[in-house]
Amino acid sequence: MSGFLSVEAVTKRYGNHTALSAASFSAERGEILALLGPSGCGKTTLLNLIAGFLDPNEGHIRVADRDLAGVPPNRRDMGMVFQNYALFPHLTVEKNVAFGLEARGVPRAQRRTRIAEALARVGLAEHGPRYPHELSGGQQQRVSLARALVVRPSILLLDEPLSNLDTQLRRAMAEDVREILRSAEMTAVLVTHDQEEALVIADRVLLLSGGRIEQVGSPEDVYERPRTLFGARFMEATNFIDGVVTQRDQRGVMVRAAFGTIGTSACDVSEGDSVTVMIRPERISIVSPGDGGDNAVGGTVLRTNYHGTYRRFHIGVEGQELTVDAPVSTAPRAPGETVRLAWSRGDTHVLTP
Amino acid sequence: MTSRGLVLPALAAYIVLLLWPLAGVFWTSITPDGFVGLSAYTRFLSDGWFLSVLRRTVVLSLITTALTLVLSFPIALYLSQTWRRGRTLVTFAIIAPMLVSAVARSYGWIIILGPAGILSRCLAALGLGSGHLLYTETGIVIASVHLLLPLMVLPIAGSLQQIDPSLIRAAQILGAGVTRILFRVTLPMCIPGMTAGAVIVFCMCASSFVTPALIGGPTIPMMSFVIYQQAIQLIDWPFASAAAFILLAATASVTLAYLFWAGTRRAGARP
Repeated sequence: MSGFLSVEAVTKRYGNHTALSAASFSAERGEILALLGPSGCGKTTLLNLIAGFLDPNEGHIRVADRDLAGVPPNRRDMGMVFQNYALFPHLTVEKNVAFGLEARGVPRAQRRTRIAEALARVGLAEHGPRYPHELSGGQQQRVSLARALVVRPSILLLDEPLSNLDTQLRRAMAEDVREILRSAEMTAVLVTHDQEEALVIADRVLLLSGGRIEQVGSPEDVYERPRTLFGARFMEATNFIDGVVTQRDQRGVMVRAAFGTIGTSACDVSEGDSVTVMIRPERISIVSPGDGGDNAVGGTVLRTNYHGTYRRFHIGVEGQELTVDAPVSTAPRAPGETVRLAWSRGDTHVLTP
Repeated sequence: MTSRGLVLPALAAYIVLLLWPLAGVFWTSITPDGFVGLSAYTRFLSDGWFLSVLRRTVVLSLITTALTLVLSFPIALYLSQTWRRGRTLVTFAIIAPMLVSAVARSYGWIIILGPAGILSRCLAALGLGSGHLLYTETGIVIASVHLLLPLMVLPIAGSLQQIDPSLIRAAQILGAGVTRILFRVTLPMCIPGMTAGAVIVFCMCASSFVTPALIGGPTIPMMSFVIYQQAIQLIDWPFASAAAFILLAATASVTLAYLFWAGTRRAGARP
């Protein structure tokens, strides 16, 4: 009953294969949600279920408390931005944007001002008379966004909207897309396999794997505090350390690992449990001998790689390899040098298996 | 450079097999008495009977083209829907007329359209007159549509299959119902296939010989029949050649006019 868009225990099966199993979540009016996951995780299925291109085997999808079961896509009052933009090649930009307004019977005079408004919003005010094939990929993307927004849909669905653009443009467009959705106060569901895209655009991220929702949280939550090993790996975390819980305290638990005892942040495990602990590579610092944090270990430099925005150190610690991403201002170390690593308990997370 | 070179064999065959004989026919048509002159053309163009045959040929071909166009679109739409089970059967039924000899197929139509034929009997049973369709313009059109349908269905089905399914989804989510999608997305995007099909059907119909000759006979002659008569029965080769060139000019001008119209309608759209 909560939320503007509410997905309740929705299951979709193809024969024996369950593409989506009992997925539940909701979105508030004006909220931007990202469905993030690798290919085959069920995110596109979920989007197509919301759009009405597929029917769920079980469960309900509601918008503003209206059950959408049996409502065809053209009566759902939604907008959609497609991966390949899906612009009508035989129509000009203007006519493309006009399509939804005509289908909704908006009078001509009103149509003209709304088209102009929508094209101005995406920065293509001058491109109305052009044909889609005369535009660049980024411009086509914007037209597709304008076409979906101009009808003022109750919900905007975006299916991998930026994946056909090159890296540089994708970063710039991600920020633009967020800005455009924000200024239109649009409730939106974005499907993507690109974690950065999800983090930049969304207010809340749903991480999907194997047809299940793994984690729901703010971009910071999902990135900094992944709950599962899958989530951590997907968010490009490194440094997974296996150990056994020795004791609980107010801040979390103490875990005995191969190279010593590690203090962690709050978690829901008991003494004696075997657990995996994760520390993001940028949360570990190389410190001077004698200095330390909540957790500190000594190690040997294996190799150093320059990544442009940071320097990645591979450090051997008692047979285990830890990676440390340090600012480029940190001097590179020669292989074989001994270093001291430190990190705080707040950045040390116990993963649920 | 290399791709241009690859065209040469086809171009050579084209010149030798088509342009060379065509030039020969043209030469025959302008030398009726051993001297260069246009008397064969003026004779054709000043004779009301020959002109009526030319008009009939163009008009019946246009009607046949329009009918095949209208009939083909739903069939092509059906064939482009890959989930349909009966596709193979329908495809075969559509192509079948092309697999049968023109003579056998036309005799089939003679039986159906003739005085004792099933069509005439049905019309009589329904009280719609006692006439039959053999040796009528309607009969020629029916048999021609049957023959030429695949040449229209296949290019349109090709056009339909090239439509990206996400375009249909985009139209749906924008609020368009089935009818709007058909007229604003599907149909306009089929124009290339329809243009190709219409040009092929029109030219094939205007120049076809066996079907109109057997169904229409000497009572309802078409251009090809007149050219045959002049060349084979009356041995007037210069006049037959002139008639052939007049037919060529007529079909070419109709085709070009149509292509121009279709071209201006899609000006600027993706080729």
